[in-house]
Amino acid sequence: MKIGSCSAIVSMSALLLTLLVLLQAMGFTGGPWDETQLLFYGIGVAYDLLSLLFLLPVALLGLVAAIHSIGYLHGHGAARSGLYWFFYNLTLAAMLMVPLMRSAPLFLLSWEVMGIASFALVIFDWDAAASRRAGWIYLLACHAGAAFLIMMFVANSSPLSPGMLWLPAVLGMVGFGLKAGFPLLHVWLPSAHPAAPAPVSAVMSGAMIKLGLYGILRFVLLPGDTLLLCGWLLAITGLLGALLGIVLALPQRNIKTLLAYSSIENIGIMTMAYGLGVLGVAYNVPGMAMLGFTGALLHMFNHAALKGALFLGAGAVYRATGTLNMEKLGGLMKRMPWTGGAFAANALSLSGLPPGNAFLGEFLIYAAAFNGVINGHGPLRALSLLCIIALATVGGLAVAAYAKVISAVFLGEPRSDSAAKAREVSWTMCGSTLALLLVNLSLLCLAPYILPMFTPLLTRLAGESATGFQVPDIALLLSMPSILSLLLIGVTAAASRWRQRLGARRQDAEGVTWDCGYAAPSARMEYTGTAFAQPLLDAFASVLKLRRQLQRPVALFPGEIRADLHSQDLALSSVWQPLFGRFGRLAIKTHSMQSGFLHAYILTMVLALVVMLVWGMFCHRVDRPATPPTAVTEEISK
Amino acid sequence: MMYSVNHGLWWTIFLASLLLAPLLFGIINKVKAFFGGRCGPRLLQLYYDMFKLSRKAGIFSRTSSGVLQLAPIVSLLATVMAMLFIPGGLFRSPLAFGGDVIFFCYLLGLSRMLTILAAMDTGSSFAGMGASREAHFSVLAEAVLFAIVVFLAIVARSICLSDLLSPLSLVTPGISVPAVLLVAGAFFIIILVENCRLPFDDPETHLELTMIHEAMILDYAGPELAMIHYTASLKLWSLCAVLALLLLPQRVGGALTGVLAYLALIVAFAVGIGVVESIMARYRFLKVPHLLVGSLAAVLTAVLLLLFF
Amino acid sequence: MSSWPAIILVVFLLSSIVLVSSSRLVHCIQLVALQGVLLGIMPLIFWDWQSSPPHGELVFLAIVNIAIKGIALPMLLILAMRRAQVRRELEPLVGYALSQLIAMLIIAGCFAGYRHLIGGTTANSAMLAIPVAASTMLIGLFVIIARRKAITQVIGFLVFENGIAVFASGLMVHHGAIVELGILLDVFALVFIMGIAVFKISREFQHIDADRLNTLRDRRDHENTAPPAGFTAE
Repeated sequence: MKIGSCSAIVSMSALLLTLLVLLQAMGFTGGPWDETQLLFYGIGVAYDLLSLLFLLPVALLGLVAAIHSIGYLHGHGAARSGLYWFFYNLTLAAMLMVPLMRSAPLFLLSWEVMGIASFALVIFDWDAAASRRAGWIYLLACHAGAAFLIMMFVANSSPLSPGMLWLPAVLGMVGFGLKAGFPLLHVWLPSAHPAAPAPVSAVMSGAMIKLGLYGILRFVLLPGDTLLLCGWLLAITGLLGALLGIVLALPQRNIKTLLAYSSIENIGIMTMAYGLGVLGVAYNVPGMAMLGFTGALLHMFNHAALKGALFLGAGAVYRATGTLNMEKLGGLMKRMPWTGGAFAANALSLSGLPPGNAFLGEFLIYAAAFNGVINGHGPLRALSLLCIIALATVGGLAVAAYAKVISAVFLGEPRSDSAAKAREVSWTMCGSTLALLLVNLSLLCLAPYILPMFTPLLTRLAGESATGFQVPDIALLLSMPSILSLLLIGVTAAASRWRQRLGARRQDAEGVTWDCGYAAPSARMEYTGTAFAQPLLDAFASVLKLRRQLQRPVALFPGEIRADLHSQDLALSSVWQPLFGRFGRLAIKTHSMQSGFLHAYILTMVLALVVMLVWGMFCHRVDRPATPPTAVTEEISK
Repeated sequence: MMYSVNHGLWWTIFLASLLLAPLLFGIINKVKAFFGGRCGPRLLQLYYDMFKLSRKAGIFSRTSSGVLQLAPIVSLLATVMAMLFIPGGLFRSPLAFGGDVIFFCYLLGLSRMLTILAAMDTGSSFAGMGASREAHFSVLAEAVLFAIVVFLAIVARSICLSDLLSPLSLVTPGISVPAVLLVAGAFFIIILVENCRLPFDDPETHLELTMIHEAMILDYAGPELAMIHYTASLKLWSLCAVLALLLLPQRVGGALTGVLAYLALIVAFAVGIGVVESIMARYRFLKVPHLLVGSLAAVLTAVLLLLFF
Repeated sequence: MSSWPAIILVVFLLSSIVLVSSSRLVHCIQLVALQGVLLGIMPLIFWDWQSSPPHGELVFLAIVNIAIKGIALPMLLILAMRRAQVRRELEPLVGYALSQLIAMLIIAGCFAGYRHLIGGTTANSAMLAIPVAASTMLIGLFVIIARRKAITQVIGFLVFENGIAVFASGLMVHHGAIVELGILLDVFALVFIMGIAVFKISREFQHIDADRLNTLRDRRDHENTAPPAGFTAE
């Protein structure tokens, strides 16, 4: 696949460039906040540490996913792959542009290109109705987000009374939250991710949704007008998002839907950490501020590499078996040892357990919340306490969710023919997952050494209050878990090697799984993923809107017996669908206004024009000449 | 009695607890036998069992794909590593660092996750049942555990396990007694849940359908089973040790008395578990979450008492 | 200086949390009885024994309290329960775990509100009675709102009343023995009437679900909503 290789090379050079610039920028660790203007002076293209940190996951996942795509697209026609590569590169280019753009029009332009190009990737499988529907929802979400962003920029650039300062912050929060997948605004995510090809999901989940957080940092937090409000909003949104995401992840059957919900959870955790950081600044608890921001950044890197790897692994499973339905998979670890091993290791890590790199980020976030409990007062203390308990609960639920994925897909006996016949995928797909595993391992080792390089960014974010708490303290804090995790991995490897030798000497035997004396255990007797999650699902039945279908055995020789659990996304079924339904019915009512006469339409338009003209002349004082499009909107909006 | 730093003594106590841990199950069984009017297995029975098992060859399910073999090793190592942070008796752990209590809790979580995965790896429906219940209860247990940590962190103004459990921190005049009692009670419940003891899981049941932990390890034999038994006893020991350090009275004479009081308390908790197991029946599974949420409420009440009174 | 008052109050509070999470009516009634006994001994425990032995009025009040709230009312409730042949609250309007969380929120809210009320000063442990009383009252009201069975609602009412009583005994308002006795008598009469009502309702409708008493309203639609014949609450 020639285009593929070319694209991979392009992405590779993007990654190298980012790394180079990042290293160069980190050279000034002691210095203040550095902003470097690029190429076009005056039209607002610049980079600083913040941009570079968010560029890094984009470039890394862009490269790895490109390599993975080569294998993933194998067998698709040239036309379709051509389209794929065109839009893939366009998406990547737009994503690389977003963190560099400073002026509103350019930023919005790259933001929209990113959305539209990735929309084309989401409907890559356009023959399927589900894909088209997912793409439609995604497009809607993108546009709604952009609309809010335009309003935010307009509000930002107009003189606001001090009482109205919350307006741009809230607008930005909604606009960027739509991209990041905040609770209630997340509905596009769980449908778009499974519809898109796996490498695209990897890029979107690993890098693109984080650009939403970048936007919040850049345009809402760094201006620093509304710290208190933003802190509370972010912390509470994050808390709800983390809980909602992981609870909704539990019942999913499609691997990629589950991973998508887990992304909502992780974005929630990051958002919560940013919220804790901002509140630390606002209430002057320096430790909490520093730990919160650092934890959020570290968790972003960890999640990017881990979730990217998991989506790529899901893609490999899809290519090997033709399905993403966990109830039809199983036993793949034996059949695809590399993919399975990497997936299991990454999933273990992403559930936040120690020898994984995601633990380090969560560790810092815990530390931030504990700092708030110990040093804070009143509401801050209550919030920190809630955050700790939420993190613990989310951790436990994440363990359950990832245990479900690993065991339903890779462990036990295969539940379908296609799973039984699966073979290891090509080296490009396997290798890209393994490469990300390596990245994760190096994040685990290097996190304590990398973090001090963020100092300028962190001091900028945490403000002057941070003087009491230095980034090297954090690095020191992290070094013990990091070293001990590596030790655990090493000792485990040695011990299991020793055990294998011992087994060889003693001639370990193999037998049939104990099933209460039943002679022919089959895959149909296995616990499925849904069965595994059922007790937990019951506990959250009201949130999940759980529906149970039972076909009980009847008569002496019962026929088919079924038990099934269905869940719904709360946001979709109780917020958006009723809302859009009502709006749709309202829109239908306006049908009567459609006479069908061309003249009538023109008359309406002319009348509207006249009314606006009159309004503009008499009621609205025009004191600025109309310049670029944003300026016009600005005036209309006033 | 303040904490002292004595690495030599700490390591001695650490090694002693590695050796003594399986004794706890012997004590529990003796207590239960006493209540049942039986003679019961010997105090050192678990040692004999483990010795016998460790000399056998392993046998693994044909379905398994490696996780089954790996899990006991990881569980054991994670539990031992978690024990490294517990201050032994009155001596600070040499490995203590800020935030090690989070690491401690999550290492226990790692051990649990691997057990769950191993259970699912066998493809057995019973193991799946056990794993599913374990995952369910552990979510709530984790929340209660962290609520307790919050309580201790507010008292000790630190998140280092060695500071949290410093004998001075809890049983002091400034802290309301009911709060301490609530936390200790909740922690005892956590010990019972985490170690799959009776009101939550019956370790002696012979019916797979009602098992949790036993169902997950149905397919183990030989050295792996020995490792699992040992891990279970280490886990019980370490949680009992934490509770013992929480409640260690303020005035215990010298180092020797302190260590003896510490060991005596751990043994007392084992006896307590034995008594609970003798006089209680297993809860219905549906009832367990209520009890756990109730203990979460208890701990939060304790936090309120601590903060406001 | 002893911590017994605080321990008693905390046990009192815990009993309300457990009550909210229990589906067995016998269990709930036992908890209410426990609360009654605690209420009875509370004034004695709060008494400053060092200065003087408690006067007779206090002891009398304690005995009456234990007799009525700890013994008589629970027995009455158990009788009503037996008559109505219900043993469990099977389908509460709010689930048990969620009820516990809400109870927790109520308690936290009461503590925080109390903190707000007294300002920054540190409170002594006898003052703990105020937030405990307030949260017990609110939990009682919550039980009335969140449960279906008439008998559980009587229990909720008793919890609410116990909360009021904690105010009195916790704050050592011991001049009002007459008032206290009057209230006790009132409650006794009320629960008596409710017990009879529960029995009558269950005999008439074969259920005691208070939320379906709306079939008694004026609009003649209860033919549609009335439970099918032979329907029992169990």
